[in-house]
Parts: sequence; C-alpha cells; structure tokens
Amino acid sequence: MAEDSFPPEIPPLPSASEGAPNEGSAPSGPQLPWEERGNLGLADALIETVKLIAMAPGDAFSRLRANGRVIAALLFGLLFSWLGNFFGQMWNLVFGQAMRSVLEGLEGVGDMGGLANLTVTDVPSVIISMIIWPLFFAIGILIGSGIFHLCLLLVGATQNSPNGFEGTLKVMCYAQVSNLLSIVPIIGGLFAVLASLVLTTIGFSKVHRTSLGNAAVAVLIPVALCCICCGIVLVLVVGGSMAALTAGG
Amino acid sequence: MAEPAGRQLALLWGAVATALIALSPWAQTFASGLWSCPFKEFTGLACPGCGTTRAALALAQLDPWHALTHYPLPSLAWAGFIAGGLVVGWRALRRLPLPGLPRYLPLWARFTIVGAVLANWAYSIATGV
Repeated sequence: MAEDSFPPEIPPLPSASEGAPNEGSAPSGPQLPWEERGNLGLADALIETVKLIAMAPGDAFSRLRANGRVIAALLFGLLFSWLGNFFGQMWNLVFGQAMRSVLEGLEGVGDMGGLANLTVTDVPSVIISMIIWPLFFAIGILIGSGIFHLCLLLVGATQNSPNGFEGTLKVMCYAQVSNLLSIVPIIGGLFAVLASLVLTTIGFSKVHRTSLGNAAVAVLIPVALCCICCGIVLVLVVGGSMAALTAGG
Repeated sequence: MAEPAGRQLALLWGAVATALIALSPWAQTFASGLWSCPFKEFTGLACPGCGTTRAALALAQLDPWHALTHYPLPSLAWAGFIAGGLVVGWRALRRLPLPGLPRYLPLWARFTIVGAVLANWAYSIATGV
C-alpha cells in the first residue's frame, strides 16, 4: 500500500548541479506523480501528488521541471481551485444569512455594510459560478503568476532559475491544493489562503533555486499591498462579530 | 513530445487576452460583484492598487483617455497585458519565434518599476482617485 511506504518510496532528488533542462527536453530525476499519471493512473497520481505537496512540499516542488507540461499543471490547479470555490459557495449558502446579519452591523463604518451583499448567494448563482470558474481560473492564475514573477524578478530571485515563468506558473497551480482546506466552514478559506502563501514561498524557493527569504519577500510584496485592504476588512468583520455577540449577550 | 512550454504559455496568454476582450461588454456586471477598496473607505486615501478595476472598466468601455488620465499605471498594465497576449498568441499560432522573459532585472529597471508604482500611488492620492 502506497500510504504505508509514503514518503520513503520517493526517490532521491537530483542535485542542482545537474543543470537546467531545456524546454521540452526529457526531464531528469523524479517528477511529481501527477506528471506521471500515465503510468500511475489518474486517481493514484492525484492522491500521491496531494500527499506529497501536503507532507513534503519542498520535495514536491523540487520535482518540477521545465518540461513543457503546463497544461497538466493547469488542470491540476483548476481541479482544486474549483473544489475550493465549490466549498466556499456551499458554506456561503449555508451560513450566508448569519454572516449578513453580522456584517450589517458595520453599516456605520464607511461603506463596509456593503460587504453584507457579498455573503448571500443563491443556487443558480452557485451553478453559474461553477460553470464559468475555469475561465476565471485561467485569467486569475495567469495574472497572479505574472505579478508574482515580476516580484521575483524585483528581488533577484530568478537569477539562477532553470524554470523561469513556467516554474512560477506551475508552483501557483500546484499550490491550489491548499483549497482543500476550504472544506472547513467559515474559516477554511482563510486557512487555505495562508497555506497557499506557505506553499508558494517554498515552491518559488525550490523551482527558482533561491533562498526561502528571497521567495518570501517576493510573495509578501503583493500580499502586503493587498493586506492593507484585507487586514482592514478582517479587523472590521471580527470587530463587528464581537460587537454583535456582545450586543446579543 | 509535449509542445514547448513557451508556446503553451503564449497560447494561454493569447487565449486569456482574447477572453478578456470578449468579456468586456459584461465588465460592469463582473465588477459589481466587487466591493470598494476598504483602505480608501477607512482612511479616505487611495491604496497602491486603487483604480485597477476602474481602469479595466474604462478600457472595456473604449475610453482610453479617461483610463490613462485617471489611472495611468493600471491602464498601461492592462493595455500591455492585452496587447502582449494578442501578439504572442498570434506568434505562437503561426509558430513564429517567441520572445523570452529575462531572468534578471538590472537595478535601474527595478528602481523604475518601484518608482512607477509609488508615483502612481502618489498621483492617485493627489487626484483623489
């Protein structure tokens, strides 16, 4: 059983001195199970890849090569981001009204009460969102990868990279595994985002052969800009919840 | 053998650029699902990313002058992203050589990018975007 021998059955990594593979060249060393799904079978490759990324992310991302398998990575990322969206929408259906009443307590703080409109959804909207999700995923992953790659260039993290933008895009795709945490109601989405940041940092450090510090700075530049906004929302939502609970008690 | 990654990425970029153009008539509908910037609502000042959505909307409504004068950097970024996608997508379809991305940015280029972001932020605050 693979589970018993996991992760010891993972073959050793190739050293960095093996050189950068060229585009489309035969990869050297072990690859991600997902990239060998032809041999392993779809379900086994999927499960093994998830386990590997969750339990040994450094090892997992070290296996990424500039081997041209971009579509495979995109399909993997699409599957897990779609699942994350599905769980998020489900929890929104279940808890949307409760969240709305909390957020409506923020009406007096700027335009924050408008957030309440985002928490309530209906079944047709969920179905439409699930159908058009692949399109938004493709747009989002490409723009997101572009922004992160620019930040990697800014901090000089891609100087020794054998994988270039292909590596950045693949890390972004495989880090979508974190969306599985969205299965946890309400706070699962937040955990998924945090896990994604950790996976992305580790992934960038491995595929671009840079330090964790450099990769973390590159990841945190856009996050810091975004967090100025998101942090305020979080403070207001948590503060509003506490206020609502206090008033209710 | 798989297609070279560069060609796959170019085709993906081209497809995304085409999709964005095709979706532009519904841009306002998609944007209505977004909330206004919490930083600006709370502090009254624009955040570094303020204007990105509005730049996309102005460009989608074929009003580049409004986009450039109100949200210069996001407008240039959107226009570059769309135009770049169309060019490399077309080149990939025709199997023409594709431009590569640099692995290293010289210091002056890094300062230029950071300076452009900061200048755009200052412009947004000054103009009340």
